[in-house]
Amino acid sequence: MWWQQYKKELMGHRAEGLLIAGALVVWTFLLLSRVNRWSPEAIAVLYWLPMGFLPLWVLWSSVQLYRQEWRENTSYLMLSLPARAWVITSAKLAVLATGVTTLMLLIGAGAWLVAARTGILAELATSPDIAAIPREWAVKMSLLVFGVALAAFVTIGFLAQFAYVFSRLFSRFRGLVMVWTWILLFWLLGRAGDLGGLLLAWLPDFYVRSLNVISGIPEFLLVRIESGPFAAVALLLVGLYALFNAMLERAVEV
Amino acid sequence: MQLRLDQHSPIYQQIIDEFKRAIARGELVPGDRIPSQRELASMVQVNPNTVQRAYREMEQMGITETLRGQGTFIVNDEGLVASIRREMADRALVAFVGEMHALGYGCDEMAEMVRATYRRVIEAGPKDGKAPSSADQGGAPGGEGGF
Amino acid sequence: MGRRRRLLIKGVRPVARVVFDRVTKRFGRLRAIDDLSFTLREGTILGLLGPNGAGKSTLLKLVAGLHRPDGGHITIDGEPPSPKTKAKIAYLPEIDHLYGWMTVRQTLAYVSAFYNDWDHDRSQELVNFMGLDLGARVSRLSKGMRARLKIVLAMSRNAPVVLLDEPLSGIDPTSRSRVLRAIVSEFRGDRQTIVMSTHDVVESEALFDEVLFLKDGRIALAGEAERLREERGKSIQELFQEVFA
Repeated sequence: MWWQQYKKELMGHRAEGLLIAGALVVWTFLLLSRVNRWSPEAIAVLYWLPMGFLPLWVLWSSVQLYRQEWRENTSYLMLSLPARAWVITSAKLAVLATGVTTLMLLIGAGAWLVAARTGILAELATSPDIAAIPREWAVKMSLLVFGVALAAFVTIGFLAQFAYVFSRLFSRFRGLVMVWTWILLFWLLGRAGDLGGLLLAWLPDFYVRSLNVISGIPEFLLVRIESGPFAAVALLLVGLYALFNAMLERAVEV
Repeated sequence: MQLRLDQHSPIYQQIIDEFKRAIARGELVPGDRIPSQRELASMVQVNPNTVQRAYREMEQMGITETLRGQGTFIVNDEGLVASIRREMADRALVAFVGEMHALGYGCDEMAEMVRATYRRVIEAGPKDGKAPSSADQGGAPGGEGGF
Repeated sequence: MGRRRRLLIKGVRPVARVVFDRVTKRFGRLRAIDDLSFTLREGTILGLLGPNGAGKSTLLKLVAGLHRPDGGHITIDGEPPSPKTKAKIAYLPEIDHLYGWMTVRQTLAYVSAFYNDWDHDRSQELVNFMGLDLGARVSRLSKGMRARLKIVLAMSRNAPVVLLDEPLSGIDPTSRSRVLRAIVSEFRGDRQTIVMSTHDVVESEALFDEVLFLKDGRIALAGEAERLREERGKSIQELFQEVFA
């Protein structure tokens, strides 16, 4: 059941996904064809420039995962299925995560390709500071950044979905309700973070090894990160997710 | 079996009447298997519960019998055909006499007119070429006995 | 509690009991359903009749759980609409509610995955009877074919309650006849209740055990179709014209 739902979301949005992935590939190869004609720095900057749209795309497509159901009246089917709301909501989030992951991998691969072809990679390899970075640490750090980015994107997307579904409870000013809800939710997360810092200070902190390379000598610094705010935000998100499912099961109409 | 339902009277009643008519005309003979309830419902696009009611009543009236695993059959009873024919004829007569009476005709007049009309329509019918349905009806032995 | 116990004692109850208790549904100022109470008779086909805007669709959506009442209670086997009650209901909306990008085969696979009472053999038979092309994309199907697909989805299940919202509206005569035949031949009177709304009574009146005339969200007339014909000497169609004149 869940698998069918996931497959349906994936197939239903494959056109948009392929479009943006295709645009990314085209952009990458366009820039690669300019190697030796444009400066490597210019190419690198141009490559990263459109990535600023990624959060916007995440936002748009997360809302689209629900908005389309109502626009095309498939909400009649979605809401008449005997599935618990979490089956539907988690499948939609999973598809969002799939899309974000795919795009991040594509962007990473593209970045590596651009760096390699423009000679930036070779240049970096000769730098003693870069050479001093332990590979193990680099891999761990990349995975961490990837995980945090994925979590952040999915959170942003989820909040947008929440705002959209909440706005469906109103018959007028839906756009306004949605935008304000979304802003309010972020404010709420901020407050929860603050509160968590105070109330959940007893939670064990966690540490991240940060690396500092000075003239070829790597030096690790332990950075302490409070877990209270994260725990509070996570708790709030879980609560919001439960509320989101309850809205879909009990309140929302076609 | 053709069913033309007019929907002004109960449909189950019309189904029963239609079967009786078919039996009276000899289109269905004792021992014939009739369609299953579901088949008939689907054929004439009538609610299966309505068909079920019609079949139940026909069974109670002794018109049909259901043999388990074999289907529903017209009861093997020659008396049945006669009594249904008699019943149908009676109904037609009541309607006819009522209508004629309302028009102001008396009994002898009616009888005379029936004889004349019979000669014109039934006996002359085949000569006109096409009157297959009335010819079929005429073929039933003793069809005019009631008059 | 008492009701629940009774249900258990009666044993297997394959037919669901749908009850409206003083249900009101408003859209802004409009009362689409106005203080409506009735109990669906189990094992029957109910014709939900009324002109456009009488509240027929709203009533069906309330049972299916796509609308929530503003007042009163709807229960299906004693429970308000929920994912659990939705498993007992096959709902066919008037509008096109299927994913246009799916093929007929994908649509069947997707929808059937959610139901335990899906009968694959019957689904296959119905697809053949309807002349549906499994490989065809839903968005490319004609209106009549889409209507046929919708009825296949509704009748391929052994659902205790089947809600059909205007299944014949706006489609060609051949499709209408096929849809009607599918309803008649797949109806399981011993374990199924069908509610079918329509504003076109002529073609479908022989289908109904019971009729409920809905006017401005209220019951204008309700009863057994055969009894109404017998008592009033009129067809349901004529009564319809009388009530809604």
